[in-house]
Amino acid sequence: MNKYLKVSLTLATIASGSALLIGLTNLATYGFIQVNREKKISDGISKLYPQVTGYGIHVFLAPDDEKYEPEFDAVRFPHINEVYHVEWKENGENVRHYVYNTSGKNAYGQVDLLIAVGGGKVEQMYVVTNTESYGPTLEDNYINKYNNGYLTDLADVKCGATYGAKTVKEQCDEALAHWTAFYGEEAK
Amino acid sequence: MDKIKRGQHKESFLNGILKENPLLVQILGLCPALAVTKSLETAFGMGLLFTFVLVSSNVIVSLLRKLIPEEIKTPCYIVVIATFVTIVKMFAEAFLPELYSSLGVFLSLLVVNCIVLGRSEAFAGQNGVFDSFLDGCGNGIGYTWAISLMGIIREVLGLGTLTIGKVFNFFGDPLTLPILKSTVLDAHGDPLYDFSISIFQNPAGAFIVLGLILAVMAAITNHKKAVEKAKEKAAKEAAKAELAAKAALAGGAK
Repeated sequence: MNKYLKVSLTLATIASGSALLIGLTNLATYGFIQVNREKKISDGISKLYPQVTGYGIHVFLAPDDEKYEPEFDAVRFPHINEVYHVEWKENGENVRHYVYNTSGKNAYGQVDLLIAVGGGKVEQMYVVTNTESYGPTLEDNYINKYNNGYLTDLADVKCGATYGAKTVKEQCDEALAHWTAFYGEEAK
Repeated sequence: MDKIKRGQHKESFLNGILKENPLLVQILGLCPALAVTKSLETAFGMGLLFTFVLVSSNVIVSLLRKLIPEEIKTPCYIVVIATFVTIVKMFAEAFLPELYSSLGVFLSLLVVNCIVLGRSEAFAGQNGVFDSFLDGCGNGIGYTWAISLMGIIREVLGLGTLTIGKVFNFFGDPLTLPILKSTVLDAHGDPLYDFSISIFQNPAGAFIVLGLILAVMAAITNHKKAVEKAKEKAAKEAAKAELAAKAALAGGAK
């Protein structure tokens, strides 16, 4: 009995110490990580739409949140984190497009994207985070090819990073479905 | 006694740097060494973070070695290593975001790195705190210089340039040194000269570079052994000749 108690106590103590250290580090670094993330997103939006003069953010909320809006349905659109409404003027008229901040995971890691949607199609993608072990292949053979117009649709998943490409496609499909459901009419 | 201890400390530190280098002699930690050595800065950054994890986990494992029951040693070591990897990840994401994105999943994979776990099991679990600290430093430095060397070779051969200040972006714009590829463009937008070989940026190139470094290391070791053998042989022959001369002298005297 004593042996089991010693084993349990040792494991519990080490796990608690680890949790405490990780918690303290999280407290110390969280603010910096958020600032970096926001900077990366604003850089991404500037790259996707260099002409943008301003953007507003719509954040996805859980259905039980008091600020919940039906169009931000986290259950129907599990990959979408935020939607940015980006605006600029063209020939004296206001033009509005949408940038979806999405996240997806597979067995090889995580891919976070900014997906620019306008006129019912994915215009460009920007990689915010890519921890996939096939990361560079996914970007070179799929995302960059799409951005540069070498891929006409997102169905081509024979790129040497099949799982990553599927994850990206899922996120794009979801962004398009959301756009069609809520902003398609406005675009017409 | 003190001299012996000092000798041990020195050995704990120096062994990992060259004689028992984890990458080039023990051929451990190959996965990150092949994956994150596309550029000098990424490789060096990985080396630094690896050293921090190794030193910290070695020290903690050494401190706890007498308290941890034998049957749960490995799980406890993994918890300790995972804690430091998580801490390093958070710090890298907060203060070195470029490095964090370049390393990707390979930073998290340090949890199962055989060098870190191996040093905890084989050294820190059986030695004092100071020796474990030195062992961690030595192995960390050894791994860092080895992957940095791979990083330099792959970046110069694969991209033709050497960039400093892109990942460790503390001093303004990064500095790009044109070595095999000109940074000046001609009228068509192409570099004036470009002798880079893109395969060195691919995983195949990493294997080639590692193979070449290992071959050079083996050649140096073999040369040293051959020189030592030749010296030993010469000494033996000299001793034999001396004996023969003495015997001849003794015979002449009779």
